[in-house]
This record gives sequence, structure tokens and C-alpha cells, in this order.
Amino acid sequence: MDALDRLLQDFRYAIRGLAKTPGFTLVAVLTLALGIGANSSVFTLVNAALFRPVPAPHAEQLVWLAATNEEHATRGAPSFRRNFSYPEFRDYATQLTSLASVAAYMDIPLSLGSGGEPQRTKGLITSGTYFDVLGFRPATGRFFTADDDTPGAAPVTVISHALWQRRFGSASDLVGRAITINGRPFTVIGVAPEGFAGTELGTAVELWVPLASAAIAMPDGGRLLELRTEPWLRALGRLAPGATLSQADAQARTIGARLAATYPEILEDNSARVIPMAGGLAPDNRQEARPIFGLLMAVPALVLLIACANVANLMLARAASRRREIGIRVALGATRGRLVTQLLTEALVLTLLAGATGLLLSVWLNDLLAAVSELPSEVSAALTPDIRVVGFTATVALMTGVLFGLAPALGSTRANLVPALKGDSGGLGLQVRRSRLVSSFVVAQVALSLVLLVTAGLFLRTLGRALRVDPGIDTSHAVAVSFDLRIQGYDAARQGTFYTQLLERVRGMPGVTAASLASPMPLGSRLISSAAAAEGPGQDDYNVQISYAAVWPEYFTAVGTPLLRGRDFTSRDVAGAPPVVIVNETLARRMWPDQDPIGKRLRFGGEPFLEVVGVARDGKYHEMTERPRGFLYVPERQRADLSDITLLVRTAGDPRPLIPALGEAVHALDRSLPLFQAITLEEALRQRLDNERGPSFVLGVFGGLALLLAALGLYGVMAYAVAQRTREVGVRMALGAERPRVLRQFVGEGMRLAAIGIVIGLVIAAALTRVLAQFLYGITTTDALTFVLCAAVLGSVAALASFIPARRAANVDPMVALRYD
Amino acid sequence: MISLRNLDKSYPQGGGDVFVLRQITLDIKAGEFVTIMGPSGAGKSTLLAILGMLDGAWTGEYQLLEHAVHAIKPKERVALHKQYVGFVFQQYHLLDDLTVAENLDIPLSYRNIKKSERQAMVADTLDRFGMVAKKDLYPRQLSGGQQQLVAVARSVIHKPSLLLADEPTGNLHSTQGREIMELFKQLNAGGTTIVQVTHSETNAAYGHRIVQLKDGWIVK
Repeated sequence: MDALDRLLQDFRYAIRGLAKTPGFTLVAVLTLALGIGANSSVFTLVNAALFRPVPAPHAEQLVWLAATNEEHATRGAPSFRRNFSYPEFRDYATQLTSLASVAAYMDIPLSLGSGGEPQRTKGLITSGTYFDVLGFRPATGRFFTADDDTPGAAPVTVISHALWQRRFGSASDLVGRAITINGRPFTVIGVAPEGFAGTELGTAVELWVPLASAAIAMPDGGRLLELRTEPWLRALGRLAPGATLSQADAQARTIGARLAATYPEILEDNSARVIPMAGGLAPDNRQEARPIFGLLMAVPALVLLIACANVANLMLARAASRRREIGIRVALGATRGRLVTQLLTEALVLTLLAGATGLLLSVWLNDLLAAVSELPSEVSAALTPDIRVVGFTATVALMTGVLFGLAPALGSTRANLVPALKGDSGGLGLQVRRSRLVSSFVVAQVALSLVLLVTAGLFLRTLGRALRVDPGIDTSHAVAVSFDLRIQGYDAARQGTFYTQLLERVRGMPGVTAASLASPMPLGSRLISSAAAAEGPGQDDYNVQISYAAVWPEYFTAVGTPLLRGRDFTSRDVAGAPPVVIVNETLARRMWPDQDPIGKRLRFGGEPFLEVVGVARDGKYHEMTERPRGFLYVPERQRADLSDITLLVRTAGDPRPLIPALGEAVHALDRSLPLFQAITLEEALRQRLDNERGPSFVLGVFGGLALLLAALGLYGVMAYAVAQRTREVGVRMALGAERPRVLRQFVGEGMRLAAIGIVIGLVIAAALTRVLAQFLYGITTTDALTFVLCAAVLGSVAALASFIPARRAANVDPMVALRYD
Repeated sequence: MISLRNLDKSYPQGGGDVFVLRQITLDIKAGEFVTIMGPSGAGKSTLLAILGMLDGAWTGEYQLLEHAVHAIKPKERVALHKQYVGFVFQQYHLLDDLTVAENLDIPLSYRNIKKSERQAMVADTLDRFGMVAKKDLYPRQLSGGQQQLVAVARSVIHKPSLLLADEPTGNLHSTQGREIMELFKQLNAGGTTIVQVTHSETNAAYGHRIVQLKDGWIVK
């Protein structure tokens, strides 16, 4: 009998057997589908980030040319946290002959003034070779040529298909027309193919402009093209025909070594590597995201293990009721291997069903995730399952099948099956062995569930702490409106005039009690850091890490941060006046412990000394869970020409109705200026908390799922034990056992298993949660309250799961039970 | 064909051993039809399981044709079982989820016979036992007698030289029982060695001789 025939036969019988027990099949498939679906869902995300190829022709030839830094190498791998300067990129582009073409790019904000309200859009500034490297054909028009990327060339742009549809109604005559970008005309030369929005996940590019237009596309852009000291570009390329990845990589390293030798003061320890281009994360982000993805993958894997233990128990129970059938098969000549194969086939049929259901579940989950997170369609499109996700799910399903199918298959075929043919339950020895296997699965389930619960608990406690943190600003009755005059082409003098006029208008609006400007905005996504030094001995060491913001007078009133000492900035603190600074408490303490900081001087970023005129209360500046940070404020008018200015307004009442009027006030001064954020400070704070809320939510869901599965597992085992021992209970009661005693006995058995699982789980959790330290805030990784609470929750659920079947046992009518047997 | 010498079977209980079979010495010639009788608990079914090599935990000597069963590994015993033995049980033990034809196919599939050959053998057997019309029915759709008929057909489909039957008519009424015993007689006449366990004197009369067991000992 050939193997395929046997396999088909086993499959046929397995399907028939499962169809005969629909309850068992449904519970097993759903349990596994939840576990497999959770894994597929997370893997879809990991796939999009790390593995999915760019949808370009011959994507296998595409590579990253990644700038590396050996100084920050970890475990032999260079750090990718470096970019290329434009001259350095040019060196690689001309010397790297193993690559057919190389392109440089960087994402930049662009202000789009045509086709409707001014809008800040995601732009990509690229070398003229960008689309050639990717090998795309335009939906209409053409892509950049070398001429477009030559200094002095007329500004041109390629727009995304989505933008073409949304903003220009798919106008067929758009190509050749000029649109306003950053206040200047750019000729549209082509439309990118539908669905393409850049190679990086999460950056839905809408406009591409060539590097030659850097001077008008980016503040200081012209200068950036000349400086070898300013690394700002990423690069990608396509392998030359016949060239291999390792050849290209070796060549890049050789060029890197040569450049480092030529420019030692700039490029010492720096080089480049050629690595395959896969996934939507650039090499640096990929390196950074790896630990997070590790954690993300580990958690659903634990959930799946619990689901496996659950289904293994169900299979064991089922195998016990099939002892007669297995006995007959042995009597008819089945070998143990053959029986194990057949039982494993049943397990595999179950997991394949569960895998398919899980895959559907993951698609649904990711759609939900995309909808909830309001992801752009180009990004959510990357979250659809491809062949890798299907392959991963199938592999997980097969491994799952072997994992939960093997122990029951081996266990149920090892026994002497002759008694089964005579209707015996298999003797005490077999029952003890089987019940030990079942018990160990339950203990493992409870232990794993506790590990997940504790992980979720620690994240929830971190969230709780973060929610209670004082942000150092008064978020009620305040609103923030952000815009960027620099990309609109304003010089420093025009910016100053604009800000002064805007503040005058806003301060005169009814309901406004204070108004100011800041860059960056408090609790925003941007943080500017530097190293500072106090005047005096060691003033050249710059050994104090600081972050800073440039603000206008009345800032502290507008955001509600009390000034503890000294004064606010005034209209006299302008360029040319003595440079001044306001420090926060932490910085004052670090620089001048036990001294009055007012009148002291400090400097940072190679600037002249600034005199401290005030001390502001400490707050949070970037993350709610950050440690106390040395922070200083400088007058914007002494440090002008910053990107992304935010207008901050405090109001007497609800600030939301004021938002449209503030937008009008800005547009009254410049109709084409896009506003890229207009929210209340309460909303801004909520957005910052999403960083903590996200993982807590995901882990909370997984923790809840684990708890549910563990409860179901314990319930299933206890319910089965009660059903198996109905006769025993009947005999006990006929002999005088009272109901409470029977109840105690069964609950006690369940709780004994739960207690062992909880103790083991606590030990594992204490050992494993250490890796979570970097994600937690305000609590230790062995936070006693979390551990005790999680153990108590799990214990209570276990008690309930044992109590329900135990009550059924206690309600057994002895006469019925004995007759039943 | 079969030669047992000083065969003991016991299991541990309460610190000691409880014996199920004691010093069994028995010879069965090829083509014989032997009946084992005795009260409940005498060890009849256990002896049958040992003869069929379903039970390997015993001491003593067991020679089956030229094979010393006591000296070979469990895997080889399974192979011997597959080659020589067919089993019939009191409770028929058909597989509920399989049709008549599929039940007949099972022992053949466990013997790695090609599908085309199996189909031919199943068709022959269905014809020989007059069950062609019932080949797609499930066991629950058959009467007790019909089920035992399928069970007997299944036990001999791979042409075993030794047929072991444990109370084969225990669950059947007398007419059906008689039909099954007649079938055994025919099989025996065709050369199959048969060992049956029964309480029925009538069934015992179909055999050539009777072995009496009591408390694990052969008493006659």
C-alpha cells in the first residue's frame, strides 16, 4: 500500500470521525484558531515590516545600501543608525559597480498648496535614479531623468496615485501642469503606479521631488547637498546583472574603508553594507524594532502553547473513549506507528481547519487594527496576508498539530489494549498514567497563563502609572496649532514679523487668556537634545545631557507650567539682547546643586553662554514615562529659524470652538500655509499616552485570552473527571459521603493543580519579566502587587472552573449513577 | 502448529503476584479445531490473547510453527500476528464509523497490500459471505448476526492460518449462532486452524477437542 493512499485513507477517516463529534471538533478548532489567529495576526505585521518584498519587478535584485557605524556595533553587527551625506552617497553611487543603479532618498514634509486647502503632505526627496532602481512604470506621464536632478533644473514632482485621485480628481491633464509646493510652482511630470507610496511601511508618500530641488523643498536644503558633515540620506539599489549580494557587500565595505581613510575626521568607524531589501523598515528601524517584534511574537506563541495544552487534554479524553476502537485496530494488525500516524492525522486535520479559521481571524483582526489606528490604505494594504503569512500559518498549524497530537497519540497507543476489547477502562495503571499526563497539561496551562497575565499586568500597571503622572502642564482649556513657515520659504525676519502679528491677533480674540509659540510643542513627537555645560571649571566638557524648546513670552502661562523662580521671557529678549535661558528644576539641581541658579550661566551646542533668568517646574517633555530630564527654554527670538512652530493658546472656557478661528487667524496672514495639527492639549496628551496604551491593550487582550483558555482547560478536565467518576461518586454517596464532602473533594483536586501551576508560573514570570524592564515605568519587573493580584485572579478563575463540574458531581443521584454504570 | 510449555501469566497486586494462567502446556496441530472452556475468570480470554500475540507479558515457551515467540522482540511478534492470526470477538468489534467494505479493508491496509489488490480481495470476500448488497452499510444498520458475519469475514480476509474466536456466538440467538459455527466448520475444513473460547456445549461440539481451564490451570 503506497504512502499516499494510506495518507488519504487516514484523512478520510479523520474527517469522518471529527464530523461525528461536532462539539469536540468545534471547541478544538476554535481554541486552536484563537491561538493560531493571534500568531498570524502578529506575523502579518512582522512580515510587512521585515520580510515582504517591495511590489517592484524583480524585487529579489533590490538591496539596501545601508550606512553603518562600527563604533556602536553590537555583538559584531554594525549599527545601521547612520545616514549618508550627499557627497558620500555620490562616492558610493559612482564607485559601486556591483549595483546597476543606486538611489538616495529621505522623507520630508512638503506643503501642498494646490487642489484645495493648503495641506502638509508626506514627501520624498530622491535622487533622479529612484524610480529606475525600483523599476516601476508611471501610471501616467514619466519619472525623473538625470536632467531633472541637475542643479538649476526646473522644479518637477511625481505625485502618488492616491493624491492624484483624491486631490485632483484623476485629471488627465495634470501632467505638465504646475502645482504649488512650499509656496513655489513644481511641474507635475508623472503619477506613480497605483498602490505605491514609498518603500517604507507607515510612510505613505504623496509627493516625490528630486534632490536638485532641495533648496526649495527643505529648509537649508541647498547647503545639505554640499556638506559631507551632514548625514541625512538613505540609499537603495539594484544588483547589476551577474553581480551577487556578497560581491556588492564586499565592494561597499572596500569603498567605505577607502572613504574613512580619506575623510578620517568625518567618517572614522563609518562604512556601508549591502543587504537584501525586504520588509517595510529601513535597516536602522529594522535593527531597532527587532526586540519589540521578539516580544510581540513571544506573547501569542505562549497563548498558542496554552491552546495546545487545552486541545491535547481534549484529545486525551477523546482517546480514552476510543480505547475500544484502538484495541480492535491492534487486534486487526495495526502497528503502533500506524495508529500514531492515524491519530496524528486527526490532529493535523483539526489544525488545518483551525489554521484556515485562524488566518481568516487574523485578516479580520488586522482590518480592525487598521481601522482603529486609521492607517492609510497603502499601509493597511501591506497588512494583508501574502504567501509568507499563509506559509507561516500553515507551518504553525502543522507544528501545533504535532505538538498537541503527539502526546495523546503516543499515550493512548502505549497501553495494553486487550482489556478495552472486553469493555474494561484499562486498569488502574493506565488511568493513573493518563491522569498524570492530563494533570501536567493543566499545570502547564495555568503556569503559562500566569506568565502572560503577569506580563499584561505589568504593562497595565505601567499605563496606570503613566495616566497618573503629572505632565507638568495644565492640559485643560488649552489648544495647540502647528505650522511650518520654513518649508514655505520664510526667512528669519519674515518669520518674526509673522509670529508677532499672529500673537497680536490671537491675544485680541475673545476667550483667549494667554497665547505663545513654541518649537517643539510640549509633549509632542519631536524632542531636540544636546549637551550643555555650566560656566566654570569643566565648562568645555559639555557633560550634562539636556533637551530644549524655543518659546515666545507668555509660554509658561499658556501651557500652565509654573515659574518657580525668576522671570518669564519678555519682548526685550530678542536677537542682539543678552542671551537668556530658563531651566527646569532637574537641570538647575544637576548644574548648580544647593545653589540659586538665577544669574548663573550655561552654554550648549557651541553657542555663547546664556544667563539663567528663571526656573520652571519639572514636567514631562516627550514621554509620560520618561525619567526626570534636564530641560531648558530659550527665547525663540534669540534662536530663530526653527521648523514646526506651534501656537499655544489658553482659553477661559472650552478651547475646541476656538480652533477654527485660530486657523483663520493664521490663514489671514498666509492663505497658503498648511496647518498640520490643531488639537487641544488634552488630545495631545492622550496621543502621547497611546505609546503606553497600545502594548497594554494588546498584552491585556492576550492575557485575557490566556486566562479564558486556562479556565476552559481546567473546566474541561474537571468536567471530564466528574463524568468518568460518576459511578465512584455514586458509590461514595451510597456509602454515606455528604454533598459538601464530594464538592470539596473535586474543587480540592482542581485547586491543587491550579496551585502547582501558579507556583511554577510565578517562578517563570519572575525570571522572564526581567526582559521587560525597558518597557516598564514606575514599577519593578517583579512588582509584588501585580504578581499577587494575577495569582489571585487566576486562582479565583480556577476555583470557579473547578466548582461548576464539582457541583454537578455533588448533585449526582447515587441510584441513577450506579444504574448508569 | 502451536506448542506452549509451562506458560505463566500474572500481574502484581498488593505486593504479591496474582496468577491468571499457571504452567500451561498445550499442543495444537495445524488444521485442528480446539475449544477452550471453563468458568468465568479461568483465564480463557487471556490464553487466547497470548496465542494471538496481543499480550506479550508472560513467561514460559510459545512455539508458533517454526517461530519461538518467547524469544522474539515485540515488533516481530506484531509481524507474526499480522501474518498468521485472525480474531473474532463476542461483541463483533466492528469499527462504527466504517462501512462493511471499509471494515473488511482495514486488516488488509494494515498489511501494506496495494489498493487494487485490496479492492479485489474485499470484493471476493463480500461475494463469498453473501454481503455484496450490504457493503456500503454501517454496522449500526446491520443485525447482530450480520455484524458477526462481517466480523468473521474481516478476520479471515487476509487468509490467516490461525483463527482465534472469543465467544463468537455469545451475543447471537441460536439460529444465527449456528450459521456462524457452520461457517467456522467450513473454514476449518479449508485448512484454517481454529481456537475458540465458549461456554456453549453445542458450539464446543463443532471442535475436535476441548481444553478445560480452571483458576488458570488446564484441568482436562
